[in-house]
Amino acid sequence: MTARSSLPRTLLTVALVAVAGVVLLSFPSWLPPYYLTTVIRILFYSMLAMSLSFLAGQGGMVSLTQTGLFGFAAYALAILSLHYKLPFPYPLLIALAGTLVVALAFGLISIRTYGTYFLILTLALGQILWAIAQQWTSVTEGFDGIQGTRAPILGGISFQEPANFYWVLLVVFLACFFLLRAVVRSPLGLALRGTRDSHVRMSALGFSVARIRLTAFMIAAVPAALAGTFFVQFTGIITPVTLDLERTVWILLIVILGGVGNLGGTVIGVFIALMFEVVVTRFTDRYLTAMGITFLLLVLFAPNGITGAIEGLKRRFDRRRRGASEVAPTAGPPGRGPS
Amino acid sequence: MRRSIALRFLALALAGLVLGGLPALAQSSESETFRIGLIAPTTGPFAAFGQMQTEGSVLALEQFEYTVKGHRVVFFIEDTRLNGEIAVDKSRKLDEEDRVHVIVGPTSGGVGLSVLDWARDSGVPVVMSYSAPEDITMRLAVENVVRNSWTGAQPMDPFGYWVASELGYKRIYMIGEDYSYPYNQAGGFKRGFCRAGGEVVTTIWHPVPTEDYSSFLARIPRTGYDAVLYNGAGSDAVAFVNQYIEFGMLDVYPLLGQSNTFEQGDLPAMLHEAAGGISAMQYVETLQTPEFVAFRDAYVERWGRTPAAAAEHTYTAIVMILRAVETLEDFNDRDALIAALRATDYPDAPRGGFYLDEYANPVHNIYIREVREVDGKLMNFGIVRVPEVSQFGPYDPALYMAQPVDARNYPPDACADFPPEMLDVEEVYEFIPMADGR
Amino acid sequence: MVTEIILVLNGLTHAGLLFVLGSGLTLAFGLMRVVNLSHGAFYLLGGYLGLTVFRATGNWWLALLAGGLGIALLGFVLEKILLERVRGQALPETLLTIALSIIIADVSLAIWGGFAQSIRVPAALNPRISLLGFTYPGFRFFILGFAVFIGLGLWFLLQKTKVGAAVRAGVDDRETVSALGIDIHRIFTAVFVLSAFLAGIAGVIGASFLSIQPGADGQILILSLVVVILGGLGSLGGAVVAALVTGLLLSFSRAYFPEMSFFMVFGPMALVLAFRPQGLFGKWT
Repeated sequence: MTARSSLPRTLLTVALVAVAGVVLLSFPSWLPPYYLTTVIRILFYSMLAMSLSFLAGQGGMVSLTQTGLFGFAAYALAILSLHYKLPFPYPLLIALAGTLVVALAFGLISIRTYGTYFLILTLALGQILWAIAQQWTSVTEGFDGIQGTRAPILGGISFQEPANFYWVLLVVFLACFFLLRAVVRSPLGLALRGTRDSHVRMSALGFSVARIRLTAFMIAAVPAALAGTFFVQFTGIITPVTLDLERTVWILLIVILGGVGNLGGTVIGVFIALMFEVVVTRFTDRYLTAMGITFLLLVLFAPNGITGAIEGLKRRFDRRRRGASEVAPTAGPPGRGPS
Repeated sequence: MRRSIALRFLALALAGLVLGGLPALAQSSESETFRIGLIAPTTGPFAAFGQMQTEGSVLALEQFEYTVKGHRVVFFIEDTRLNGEIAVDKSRKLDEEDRVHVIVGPTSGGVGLSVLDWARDSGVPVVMSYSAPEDITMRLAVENVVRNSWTGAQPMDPFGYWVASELGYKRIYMIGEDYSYPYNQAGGFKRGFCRAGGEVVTTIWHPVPTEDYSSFLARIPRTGYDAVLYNGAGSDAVAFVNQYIEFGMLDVYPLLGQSNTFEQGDLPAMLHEAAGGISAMQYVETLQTPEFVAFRDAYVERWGRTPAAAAEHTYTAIVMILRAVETLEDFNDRDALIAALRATDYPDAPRGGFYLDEYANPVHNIYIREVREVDGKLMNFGIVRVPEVSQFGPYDPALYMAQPVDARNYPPDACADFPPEMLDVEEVYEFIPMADGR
Repeated sequence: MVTEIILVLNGLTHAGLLFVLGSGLTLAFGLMRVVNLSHGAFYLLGGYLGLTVFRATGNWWLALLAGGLGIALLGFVLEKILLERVRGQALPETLLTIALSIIIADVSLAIWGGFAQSIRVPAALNPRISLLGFTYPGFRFFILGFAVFIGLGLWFLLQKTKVGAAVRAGVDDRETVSALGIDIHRIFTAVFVLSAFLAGIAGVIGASFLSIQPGADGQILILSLVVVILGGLGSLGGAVVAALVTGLLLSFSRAYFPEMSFFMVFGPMALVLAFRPQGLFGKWT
């Protein structure tokens, strides 16, 4: 906050936060059940979208693996609690840990690549997870998916009750949101943006670009994994469809809708995407075409406000591609820049 | 900036308020209408099934003039895109927002199991009009979920029996799609086959989807078997059958199929040599019984194409529901509706009469069919009818359900490895040859 | 032993198809730094166009040409009215191709429906060849031969013609080529159209020896990406090697480890990338 903020402004902010908080907490008591269901879905999809938005916006890393990690965590939780019958909290903890291990492996492979190449590489890696889910039938039940996962009942409180589930999810959502925001404002965030803008320069300055990007990648894996565990406990089912190409693209679209890098915008993005589906499918079977066209228009014309960040990202992509030629002669012939 | 976060939360909260206000604008759920919801894949690659189910439903509703007991019938259609998560979400919506009395659908096994899972918690009556996992009406059965269609094993048990006893095959090589519905089809086939004196059903599973079967075809031993059975459907079946023919395998072994391998909608894509393929199901599109002809003619007149199994099953689901409602005093009495549905007896169903067993699954005719070419088109023709086939086959329900669930490795490939109590059963099947489609 | 020979032949056939697809994709990336993620949708639509023309004329070659030229034309139109607007901005361009792929796939579904269909290759092109006691569809040999022909054609184009030289120079150093007065944009367009042509042809071939249905686009896209990433972006030779590895792996893993077949195909890619992010023959990351 700047020195210019005055007492009335601070009071107004506090009041707004308080009102918003009360409204959010009160949802279960007056919102019709199907709308509470929708809010819950918005929250966990938004967490997944935030992980991508953070990586893409702060790090220039459009990671199409996040959906795969979301699905992996969901599958791990389902398999551990239903097939191995482990009691709470083991399935949850192991699922989260396992997802981080996968993120580490994928991260190590991909953090040395940039831009579009990073995008298609993470896409392929994410689809490895889809392939495993679809084909390793003896473990994942393949095409059928796994039914029956439920939130636990702890100390007499049933988290299968939508209200209780919602409150826990809301707290976790806010925690992820503030965590990512804190990283954005931290020295790591600054360094990350540096690697986004010119990793060559950062390297020349003595930063370990690989380590910075890997750390960011691992941090982003956390909301994605958590979202996956909430998803499977709420919906009760996990199938390979949850990690497929269409879903991956859907999350990308949401991030762009909400503004790349704009964490809170992901909520708006998910909301619009869900409503879009409900509305469009009422009029036509060509929902996917409508989605594609919307995507197209969004990318081409970048409506003001939400997608201002796309402009920024474009500039950063270009600047990085030309970055090599602006560096000292020892970096190699001009134009042969990575991208 | 703290303020922007607050604004965002406010936006979220306001959105919530708006959402909350929407029901006031949405159609009010009049307690005077009877509301049915259909969940089916109306978009996406399986849209053909969604279309069939919609057409079957609408035909039935139109015949009833959208009225039952003097009240209007409101029909909702929700798209599942063959995805369990979406199907559950839509089912929730149909229940919590549209307040439907009963849900009909869905198509695939996985989606059926997902909806079952939800229905168990929500208590909404569901009529499974195509989804075939047997546990929906066996080990996982729930009072409010009934089925008017079939289980995976149901047509295959008599089929396996017939293949061993009538065709005299003793050794079958089976290649199938690696998921639960083919497992169940394989299980039923093996049981019937082994009881009738078969020796072995070598079972190989392939990932879904597979476009190129050359590897699998290469591994089939050229001697030592009597037939190959392809246990898959859709694009996999088309590819397999065509490649089977192209690799000259028809000269080595005849080809049998699972219930959906020679599905009406896929036959046009198959090579003409597919004629002669044999399969079994509770439906055959060339039946000539008066009930079926009436249904088929009405369907052709309404929609311009011949009905497939999914269409007939949804049609009978709707008729079954409306007839059940006609017996009720108050259709808002959920328990009474469930009881009426479970007591269904529908002797004039187009495909052949059926009634529900105590686990709410139909007992009905199974038709063994052969693919024939007529006027350049491939079609299934019924050659044998097996009446009164239940999901348990000839087994006592308790004995059947005590067995492990059909899985990748169960039942065993070799009939000698079967538990004796599964082989030593009194046979109940009657194999009646069909002539002229009856 | 005979089984293994069949598996090798199957693998080579697949490799042929993957090479035809991957070659266009890798060249386009090498030159324009954009991965055309509608490549799978081009394959799908090409197959359907070929199917329709085949049903109308009964001539397979005509169908092949229709598929290739139809998609080439589509590629040209899309390039001019959409992709050129965002040329130079890698992410938006890639995103546009994603959007296009969704639209093309859904429109194809609307037109041709959801059931699997295939092109019945005339017996002249698909004789039943007797091979060591097996019958083998001759069309698969044809595909192999065709892929080799395409490969040689591309090699010739790149190495022996002026246009090819310009393309190779453009892959190496775009700015200098521009500075030398060569219209780099026309070269971009040419390469993109060529890659679309190849995708369309691959679609007709795929529809002939396999089948064509919704979802085929996603499958083939991922496989093409694996080939392109493994081989190295921009490298035609890399595409050959990667297509061979991928095709053979698919064939053998399906026979012996069906549950893990896709995973085994991705395996080498992930392994190679752990040590060489730019793929086997890629020039940079």
